[in-house]
Amino acid sequence: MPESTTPGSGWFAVLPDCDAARAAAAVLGAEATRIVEHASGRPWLVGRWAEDEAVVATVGDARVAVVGLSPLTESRLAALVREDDALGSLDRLATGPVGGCHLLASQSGRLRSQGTASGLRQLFSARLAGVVVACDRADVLATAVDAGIDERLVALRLMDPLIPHPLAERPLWRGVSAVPAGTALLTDAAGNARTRRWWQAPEPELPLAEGAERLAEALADAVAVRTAGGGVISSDLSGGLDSTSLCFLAARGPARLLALTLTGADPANDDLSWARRAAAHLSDTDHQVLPMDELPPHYTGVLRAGEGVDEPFTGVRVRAPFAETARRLAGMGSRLHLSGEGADQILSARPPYLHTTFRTRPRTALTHLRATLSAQRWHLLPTLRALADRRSYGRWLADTARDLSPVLALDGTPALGWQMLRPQLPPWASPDAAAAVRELLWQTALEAEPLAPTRGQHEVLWSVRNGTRLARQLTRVTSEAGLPTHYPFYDDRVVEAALAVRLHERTTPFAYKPLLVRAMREAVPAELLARRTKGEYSAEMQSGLRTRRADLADLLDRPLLATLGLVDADALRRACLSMFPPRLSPVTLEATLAVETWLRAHAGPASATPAMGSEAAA
Amino acid sequence: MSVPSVFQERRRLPMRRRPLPLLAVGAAHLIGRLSPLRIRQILTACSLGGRPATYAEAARARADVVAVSVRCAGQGCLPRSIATALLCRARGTWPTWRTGMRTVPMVAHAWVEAEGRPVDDLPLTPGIPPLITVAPRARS
Repeated sequence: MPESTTPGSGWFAVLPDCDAARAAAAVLGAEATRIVEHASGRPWLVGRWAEDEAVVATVGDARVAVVGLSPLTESRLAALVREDDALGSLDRLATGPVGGCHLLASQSGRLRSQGTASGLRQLFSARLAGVVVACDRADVLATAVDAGIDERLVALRLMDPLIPHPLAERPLWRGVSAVPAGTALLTDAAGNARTRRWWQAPEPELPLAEGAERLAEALADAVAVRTAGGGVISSDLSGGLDSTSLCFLAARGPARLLALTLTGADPANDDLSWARRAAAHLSDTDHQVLPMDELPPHYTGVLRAGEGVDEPFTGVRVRAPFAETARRLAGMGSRLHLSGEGADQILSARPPYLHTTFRTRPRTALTHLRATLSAQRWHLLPTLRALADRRSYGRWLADTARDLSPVLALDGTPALGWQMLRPQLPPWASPDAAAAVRELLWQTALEAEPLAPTRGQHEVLWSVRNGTRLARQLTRVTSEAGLPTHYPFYDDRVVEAALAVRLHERTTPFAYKPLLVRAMREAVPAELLARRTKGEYSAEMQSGLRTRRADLADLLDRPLLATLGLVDADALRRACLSMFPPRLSPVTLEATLAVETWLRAHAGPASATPAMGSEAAA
Repeated sequence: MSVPSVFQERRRLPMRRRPLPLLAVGAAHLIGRLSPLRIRQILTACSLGGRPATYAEAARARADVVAVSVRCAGQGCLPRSIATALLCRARGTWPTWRTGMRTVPMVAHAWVEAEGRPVDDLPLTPGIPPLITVAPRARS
């Protein structure tokens, strides 16, 4: 059913240009509705995608394809491709005004395939019928190669969202690997492949004013690409600064804007009043206020929430309300939806920036540190010790693997390591799970390179990767419901603009998102930029836990995670069904539920590895 | 729930106006370590004879406290609220001191009120049922 495919709900695979690839094409092609051929006539791209989701240009014997959102038409794409170096011209395309798309090239038997630098658009690879095949979904490859699940990586996912780099991007199937964000997969004529880095994060060295100008421009472009097609588009208008900025930028474009505010039951959440103030300034915008109790409660359908996603994701909880919102907005005519997700990740660094700033601007760092100590209730001595710590990334990783016990909120531990909170497992993780995770961490520590040389910038890039991992799955969920979600803050140009700004100017305990406030001075009324609070939604999560107790009890009656020996089922049930331990982050539990539901969907008796199969089938 | 996302803006106090707020903050840190029962007893004793603080008076006391103490400007709601009340009392008034908690999500908070509303503490306070209240009371 190619015609009814919503952008973002399909898949595509990239096949090498050799005869050996025909067997792979036969396996994948069975499920495919579209094919694009190499110049040789062999299949290059197979899959299912929407009519306008892919643009393919032919220049001599070269083929270049853009899959996803891009301002490029076939002729403009062709004009950007150099006939003698089609593969190299992807570099030019990747740094041009793109929205968010996969870039693919094929010339003389050689291929280059890449996702985005942010990680929002990903590629995976696996060896199928002797050749390396790339795909934008890990589960499609896993099915094609009949891969089993790696229990050690399942254990690792209990750490979500604190899975240390680079382990978080590993797919959970044996034999399927990820092409790391910012690298390209280069395939030769024999069907062998290697990766090469094409993206380097900018050095954080721009002053705020200059960076804000670049950010304003990049963000305006990112939104303009999405409104350009006219019609109706929708956007979150939570009342927060991020989505408010998107609405004001979107209101400039040719599309009619539908702004959506979800209202929670929590009387202490002042988001709605801010959303109304913003809407009052947006005269041509249709402002929809939707009470959350009209949507399915969090955790609705939790038993099947792992289906159709290629990795466990903490959005399991909001899957049903997200899908319902998408259906409603699509019903009102919206063709895509803007989300402010990503802004938190790129607009400010998290506390480890203090470790970096302390070495470059000690006086600034001390002022910030004093405020942070008080706001976060860190103890002084451990903080000084943490500041003095100079361990390399690999060394830090190996050391932290020794203690994987949970970090309790507000225990006074300073968050100045390579990762804001040290790697940890939930209290219900079994000793076997801990041993598996520890071994993985130690193996990784030997050769692990941080994402950037300093802790501050590494932390930012790491949280971008974590954020896009979740957003990638949520996009799929809403796309399947008929409305693709877009994240302009995760566009590569926007990420680059934000990350180029000095850490201590991007992040200060004394101002709320100073970079965005400065960048939006001309687009958003000053009264709205003055907001200094942020809505928080743990009440909705916790009431969802209570409303859906029966489903959750069913889910945890015989948890697969316990069958695999990775969790203590009683401890997990107690945490989930009784009053949740107050000092543990709710995300800890979410991660475990995400893994459990995902295992249910993917580790059935048919696809399980032999070791798991006998137990799982019981 | 909404949470403050920025460290509060702090006014600078001239040197000569700092001793009294500092004293209040010091006392508040000591009192804040005691049991809830003792805190209530001490604050109840202190409140005696103060006339009800106006919103403006309580807000000024709170700003003075925040100005001299980084701890009180951050997450230290307990010392902050106690110091604010004590500083008011030193100036002849008493606000309504409250502490309370909610369970979903779990939040414990202490704050002062005047003229029937929380003083500069929005938006965290609404929705938190008070457990202990020390209201102004006239000397009988």
